[in-house]
Amino acid sequence: MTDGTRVRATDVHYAYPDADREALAGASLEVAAGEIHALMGGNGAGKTTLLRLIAGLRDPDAGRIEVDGGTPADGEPVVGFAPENPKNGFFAETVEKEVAFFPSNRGLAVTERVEAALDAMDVDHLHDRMPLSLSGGEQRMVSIASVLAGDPAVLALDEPTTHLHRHAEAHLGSVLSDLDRTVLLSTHDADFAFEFADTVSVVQDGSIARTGPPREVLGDLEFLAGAGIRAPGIVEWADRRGLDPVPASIEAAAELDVEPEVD
Amino acid sequence: MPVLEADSLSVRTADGTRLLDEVDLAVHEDETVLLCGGPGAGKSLLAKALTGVLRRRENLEIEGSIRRDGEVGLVFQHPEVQLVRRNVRHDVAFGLENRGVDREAMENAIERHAARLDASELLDRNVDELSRGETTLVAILGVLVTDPELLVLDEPLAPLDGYNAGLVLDAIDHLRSRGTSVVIAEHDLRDLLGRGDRVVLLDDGRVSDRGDPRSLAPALRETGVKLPFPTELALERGARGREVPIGTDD
Repeated sequence: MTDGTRVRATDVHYAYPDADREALAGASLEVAAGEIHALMGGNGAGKTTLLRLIAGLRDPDAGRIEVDGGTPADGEPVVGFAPENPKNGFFAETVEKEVAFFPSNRGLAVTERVEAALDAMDVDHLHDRMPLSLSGGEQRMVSIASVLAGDPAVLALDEPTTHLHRHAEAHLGSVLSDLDRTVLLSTHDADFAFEFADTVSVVQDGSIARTGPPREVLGDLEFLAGAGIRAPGIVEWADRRGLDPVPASIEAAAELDVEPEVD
Repeated sequence: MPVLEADSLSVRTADGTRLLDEVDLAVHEDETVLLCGGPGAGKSLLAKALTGVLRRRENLEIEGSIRRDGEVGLVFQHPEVQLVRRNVRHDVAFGLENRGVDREAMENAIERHAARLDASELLDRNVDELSRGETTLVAILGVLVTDPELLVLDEPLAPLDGYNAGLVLDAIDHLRSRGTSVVIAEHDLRDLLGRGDRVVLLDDGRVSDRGDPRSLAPALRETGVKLPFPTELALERGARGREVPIGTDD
């Protein structure tokens, strides 16, 4: 693909064995190189399934998935997948060994990649800890570090903000923004997507209902309610006050001449 | 009179690593307490310790005392692990069967509590057909039918979309309105700050601060606990005390 599109899913269908309906029913998606692309939607809409197919963990029943022009099954370029529940991906007795697995498999400089990934995710102090003994938030950062260490062309992150507190979430957003690679993530956290995503796609009933910039998609309260998505706090706040456009950040909102609220 | 009182509660691993350190905590009747803190602060562990489930963990050493006045129920962070039967009605009956409740009383309790949680239509479903919010709701129902004095919820909203989070928040509001004491371990208070009577802030296994949600809001923000946008905005503007809103609709 030479048009700047790194991931392209075209009319993808997939049904889990014994399921009475398709998890993906004609999903089409384009992810631009270097962008943070957030998949949003209700529980069961098909976000995780789409991520798994793009990561090559399952093959579509119909339709096509291309990463840099090849299918995920071709092997290169690599899509690194971090599961929603980090425990489901852990197998090693130390964080260091866990994070070393992916770069080792790819024949990369393991020590350098592990150190860089742990440092980037701010978890180098957990080097010798057992992954399963970590808190939920710590496990999340280690899980993403283990993907980052493999130097994949695309990071596919399933609900990466779950269990993260605000500082860790902001740190994650800033790390992902600074990476020179494509990030496709699913999230229920509209605040995170509003602040850090370049593009938001909303998955509904197994297909993409809408794609656009966060301000456009996450600013449409009526659409979000129908899609089971909780609107960003700043959008709800601006809507109650009739503010248009929505301030870009809490700092920008604090500068506005709007009466403070007291309950 | 507290429904639960923990004195100098400490939890250590077998190799001596301190996970909770001399925690004192009382939960009173009709009170909702929010356990908060950063990653690894110990809020989830404390939630479990309060219910007694840690006593079965051989690799942990527990010191101090916990006094419970009546039943204490726990809904886990991944509530699917506590649904043990295929059919929702049978699953919800599990706790009552273990207590030797006769069938008619059991059926009545299940129907009554399900109606109050607006969950009656779930009773004849299979547990593997439930959405995530419905799974949490059924786990809450399974505990609620045993008439606990205190219900402990471990990160009940983390993986939920707007619709499913609404189901669980409605259930929490119902518990509060019927006078059940509730303890919620959470780092995301965007929908919960205004529902708490008291906040206990943990740091590295110790209680670092405690108080009402409004007065603790600055410390919560500092720690990285997620707060409603109006609360965050007021704090950003330097508001303190009574000037700080704690709901989402301010």
